[in-house]
Amino acid sequence: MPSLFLEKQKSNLLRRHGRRGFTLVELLVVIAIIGVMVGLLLPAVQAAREASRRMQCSNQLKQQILAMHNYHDTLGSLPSAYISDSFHPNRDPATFDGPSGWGWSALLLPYIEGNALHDNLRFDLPCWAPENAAMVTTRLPVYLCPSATMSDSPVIVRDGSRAELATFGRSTYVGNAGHEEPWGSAITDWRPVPGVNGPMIRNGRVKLRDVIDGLSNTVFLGEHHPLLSDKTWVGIIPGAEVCTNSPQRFPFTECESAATYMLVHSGPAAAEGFVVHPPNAPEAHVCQMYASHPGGCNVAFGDGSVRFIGEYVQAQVWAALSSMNGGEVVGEY
Amino acid sequence: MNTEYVTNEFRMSSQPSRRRLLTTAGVTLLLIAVTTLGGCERMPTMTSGETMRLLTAIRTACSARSSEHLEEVRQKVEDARQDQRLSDTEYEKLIEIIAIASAGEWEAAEQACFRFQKANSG
Repeated sequence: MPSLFLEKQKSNLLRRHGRRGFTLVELLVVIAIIGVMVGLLLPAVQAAREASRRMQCSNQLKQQILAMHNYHDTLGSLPSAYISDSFHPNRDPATFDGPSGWGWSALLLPYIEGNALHDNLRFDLPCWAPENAAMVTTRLPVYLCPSATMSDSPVIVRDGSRAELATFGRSTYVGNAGHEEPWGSAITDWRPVPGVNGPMIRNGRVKLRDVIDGLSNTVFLGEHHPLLSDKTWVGIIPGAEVCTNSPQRFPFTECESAATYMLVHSGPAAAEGFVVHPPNAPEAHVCQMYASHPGGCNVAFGDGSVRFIGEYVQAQVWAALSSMNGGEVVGEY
Repeated sequence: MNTEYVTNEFRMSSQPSRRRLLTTAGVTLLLIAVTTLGGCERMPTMTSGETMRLLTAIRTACSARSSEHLEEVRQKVEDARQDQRLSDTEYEKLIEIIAIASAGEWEAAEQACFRFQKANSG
């Protein structure tokens, strides 16, 4: 009697399992549907994540441009792109870059809640002095756009023979020097050079009243992705050279002198055959703005606004936005 | 007997529908391929940085709407061609873009420059 009951139970169980199980086709259909749904959803999720990263980048630029205004209010001028004693006996003979080399983003530290670090840096010594070595590698999130991959590692500053000179903290933001690129020339003062018309120049100390094109029409800061080349918040070392980090991806990119650790320009420049290179220009100069955001780059203007400039921006419009005193009529962008 | 009849009938009716299904799938795949690949413009591969630089120069000339500047760049393209710094395909593409610009289609030429550069860069 019990064995009969067990047999019945077993057959019931089998029948039930047989009814409830999935066939292979059903399983495959379910997997295919899930696959399609994930395939549709994933790009949307990635786009949303990138949008939030881009927003954080633009917020960081906003902090920096506000810090510049505070610096100007306190000291009466914008920070120099970098400080250089161009008459120093140990200057670089090719560029006349000399000590101390401290860059605009280091000078801004007290205005972006970087007082502690600022107080620990020896601004009376060159930025590459051994006394500063421990502090200048500090990772500063305000200078690191989260969209920029490879931004966790510090920058190894190298000279023309690729020998290591120092290790500096990384930045993904750059200052705008205007149309021309004076950093390859052996001159003590950039200002008289035609086309050096950006707000960020060596020993510049530009005042806001010098920006006669209007603060809302002049680019001060922008982004630069480490994929193209290294930038730092610390400053420059005379004799250093910036080359691309991705020679396979940018096979035609040429190396540039030390100033491009902090600065970019728009063109037209004599040394480049008077071409203009807007943000994300595919020619990929290490001295141009370059971001990994789809379609363009965040840029901070003198009025404190941060705008997204598309990579299709007309070259002339970009050149007009880069100069602070060109008197150009800026078209749509 | 009865079962065999049903099976045969099923086979007879399923043959054309399967063929129709396969034809529809084939046509759909072909349409997808044509519409997808139709949007792809085949760009020549750059052999040196010269082409990249010339394209940036054309883009700048187009942006400035400057026929004079464009003519200068055209001369540079011809010089580069004579010095064998450009391949046939690169030269033809550059001349094609310059022709677009010369016809007054400045924006189209500027965009063509960008596309050509982008296709050969990261």
